[in-house]
Amino acid sequence: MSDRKLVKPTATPQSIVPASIVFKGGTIEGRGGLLIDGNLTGTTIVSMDDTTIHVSAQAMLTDCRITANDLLIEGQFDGFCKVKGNCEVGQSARVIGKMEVEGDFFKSRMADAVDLQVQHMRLPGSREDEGNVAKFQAVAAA
Amino acid sequence: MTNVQNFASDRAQMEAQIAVAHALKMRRSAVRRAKLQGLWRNLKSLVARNRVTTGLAVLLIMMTAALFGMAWRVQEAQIRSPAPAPAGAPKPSPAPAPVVRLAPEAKPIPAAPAVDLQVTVGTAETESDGASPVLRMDYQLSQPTPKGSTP
Repeated sequence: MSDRKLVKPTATPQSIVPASIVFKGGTIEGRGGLLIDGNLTGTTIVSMDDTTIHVSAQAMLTDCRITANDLLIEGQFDGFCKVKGNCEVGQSARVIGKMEVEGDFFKSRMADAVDLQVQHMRLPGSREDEGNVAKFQAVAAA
Repeated sequence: MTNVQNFASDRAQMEAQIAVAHALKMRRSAVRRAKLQGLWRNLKSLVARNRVTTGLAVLLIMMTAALFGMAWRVQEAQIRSPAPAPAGAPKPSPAPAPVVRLAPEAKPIPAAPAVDLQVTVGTAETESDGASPVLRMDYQLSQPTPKGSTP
């Protein structure tokens, strides 16, 4: 039984950061889906196409920046995210930082997101309307 | 490509597939474990943050334990002394005294079947050889034949 509501991870991601990798600094750019299992610190992750970036339950990201179309976080994340599409924070996630989401946002009730600040850059359901962009604080501290 | 090369290529491919399947299986179990750990950590932090919830949880646990303890005590008391009968219920009749047999009873010896014998005396005579008299008697023992049957 899957507990995911909004974002489905890519079935066969092109790139994987395995759990045995510890990555400090730098930039990761990729296409075709990215699955992160490892330990990243101070890294910028950029998805170059419309695929999903999946931060799995094993991953631990500290002071990272993610720019993606769709984002699914199930592990520990600390940093800044900019998501063009939908974003989901799973029940095993622990998220600290700030998120800018243009699409829909879903956070599980069990997720630890006390220090997470989510900013909706566009009203849900009006993604085509580029001229009418509403900026407001959607969720601030659960 | 020769048969040997074909065989080696197939074998390498199969081994690679097995290795990938094993790695995927290991990763799946590791992710499941990490998810459970994350969930437990989040649950703990949720409970720790909300004191009311913590208090309620502790109270619920204590009440459940008390209920279980009371039920156990009542059950123990029932086992030690059976519950008294209600007022309107008829009194149970006293149980009959147990029959104590110190020694097993001797079995009666079955009586021998009665045999009806008939003595038919033929001749009886006495003679003496000078010292003591001797009685000579011819007799015959016979069983009377039941009626309706031929001897």
